Amino acid sequence: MGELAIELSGVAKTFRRRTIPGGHTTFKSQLVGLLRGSRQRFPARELRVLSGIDLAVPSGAALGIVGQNGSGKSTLLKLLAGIYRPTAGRIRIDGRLSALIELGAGFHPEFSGRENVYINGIILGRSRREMDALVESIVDFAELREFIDEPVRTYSSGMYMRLAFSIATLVDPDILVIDEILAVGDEHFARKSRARIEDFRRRGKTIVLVTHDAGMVQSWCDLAVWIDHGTIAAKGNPKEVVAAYRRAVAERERAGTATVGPLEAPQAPPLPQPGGLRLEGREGEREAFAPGELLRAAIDWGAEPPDRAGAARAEIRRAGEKVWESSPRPAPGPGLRLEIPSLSLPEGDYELVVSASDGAGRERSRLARAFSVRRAGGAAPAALEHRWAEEAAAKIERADPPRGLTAGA
Amino acid sequence: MLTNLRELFQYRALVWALTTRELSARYRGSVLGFLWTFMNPLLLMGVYALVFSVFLQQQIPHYTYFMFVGLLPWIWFSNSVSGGTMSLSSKRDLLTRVKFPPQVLPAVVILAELCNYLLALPLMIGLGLLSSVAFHRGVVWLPVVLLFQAIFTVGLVLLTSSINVFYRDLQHVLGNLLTLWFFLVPVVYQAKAIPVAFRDLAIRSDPMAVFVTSYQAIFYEGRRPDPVSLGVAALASIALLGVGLFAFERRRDEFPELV
Repeated sequence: MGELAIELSGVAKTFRRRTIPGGHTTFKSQLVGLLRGSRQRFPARELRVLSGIDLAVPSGAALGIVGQNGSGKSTLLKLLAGIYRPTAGRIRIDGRLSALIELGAGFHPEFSGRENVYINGIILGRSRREMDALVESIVDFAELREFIDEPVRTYSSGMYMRLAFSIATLVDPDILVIDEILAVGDEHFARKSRARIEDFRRRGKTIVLVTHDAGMVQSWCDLAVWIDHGTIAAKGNPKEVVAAYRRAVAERERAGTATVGPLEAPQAPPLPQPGGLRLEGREGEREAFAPGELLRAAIDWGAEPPDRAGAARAEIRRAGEKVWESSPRPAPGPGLRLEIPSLSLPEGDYELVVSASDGAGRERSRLARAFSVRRAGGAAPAALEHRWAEEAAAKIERADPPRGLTAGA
Repeated sequence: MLTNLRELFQYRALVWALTTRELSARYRGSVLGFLWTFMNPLLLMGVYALVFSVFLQQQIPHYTYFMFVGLLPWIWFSNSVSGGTMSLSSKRDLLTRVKFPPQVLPAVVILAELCNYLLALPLMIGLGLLSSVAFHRGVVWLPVVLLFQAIFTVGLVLLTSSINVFYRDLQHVLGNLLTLWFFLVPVVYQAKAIPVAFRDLAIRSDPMAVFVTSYQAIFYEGRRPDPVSLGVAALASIALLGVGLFAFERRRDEFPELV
């Protein structure tokens, strides 16, 4: 192994979009284009997703990639994994690379779990005999013994993810590329997979992690990159990169031009600049909270007090996605107070967004403030209220938004 | 351009794993299971035997056997083309989530169909013995014919599978084109039935017709295949493989983005 596990120089990726919006290209559409006499048969709409990416990851380092949705993170991962070829630039990968991109590895839905294990192992460069030796440990780690001979289309997304993770890590790659995978699956498996990744790190493997959990990048990675609109906005020290990223996200949110989730439509007309939003704990203003702590928000609507006929609302977002929404507070005054007695959110970076609408339900003002939830004192075990229940092997989809939050005005 | 073929060799373990999987899983969940490999051609043979020897009163001796000789390699070809054409566009998960050599997918379809053909051959030979057709040392030509039919099929499927990623129309029209092609090739009738004026043209311009008549020469007429026709078909097959590899190579980077 050389000094650098991954080296990208001047990498760019452009997608040529031949399709007419809303459908596949067909002979018919081409024919119609020809008959209309348009000389350009392919409307060459180019979509530049990444450009000028220079990146060097030393062997054995953990790289964290942050960036908002649509910034090009996934495309970068697919380039690293060799699924896409770069339009320009050079990518050099030193060692066996295994990637967990999107949900699940390259599984064929009609094949059984076992067949997919073999096929994926062989794609990752293992021989059939080596896979014979590995298959049992993969099945055990994924805890799928009962289902391993069923076609994977019958798997729940959690089972799918567990199998993908087990294959990708147990074939023992030199470089592991993971996209958001730790967010899926139940707590038990998340812990197991975290331990497995820790183990990878101890053994000097290279890890590339894409996550919305900027806190994890800060605390865990040796190196961070912030991808913004297809270019590297910052790279280097994780603390600095994440701080810059957080500032930018908060600023965009405030300006209402957030490019945070795909659901975020630009607000028109522009909202008036309101007074302010302060977050407090039990003893004054703060930005970081421990899970289960008290959070108070002091809201000052500023020069333009909200319409008495309207209502105020609060929500908590994580990486642009709403994880909790308050009950509406009717007839808000010029100032408002929100209290969440127990902030039972998992560790991570969040944002509290408070908005006021007028009598017709149109949003009039909006305030936002970033905060983070961190366990105090590092690895102290959290005390979370929880219950166990038996469940049949039903599809387990994305977890519900965290409950146990109460809003009071 | 030959990278595609070299990679196929590099990934032979993958090709083999997918092929055996394809063979063993095809009839999973059916009671007769693997027997369907034989049942399907037999049933098809029964249909044509009914139409051509009972209703149309074909005067070809041992008609059922004659037809079976041409039908089996045709099924290999036709299933390979229809399955192979859709092999890329139907395996999105494999192409978009891992670094997967795409040419493996059509190759697997063709290989699995070849296995089915080879497995059905003893059945055909048994039928030949029952019909007391004499075998000839022309049989040594069989591997040659198989090889060039394989090259022809691979070339064609590389072309059609990459076209189908961009124009899904192909998969819809393909069934009818294959039916037309089937009747242009002397499978259910003898080449003699084609008017002399364009018999040579009809056979020699279509490699599939050359291959089918070669099988008939080996197994039914007990002579060696016509070397000139076979030579022309071999050259055409190699040329088509070149075209197929070229088209596939030019477009393969875009497959993961478009399937």
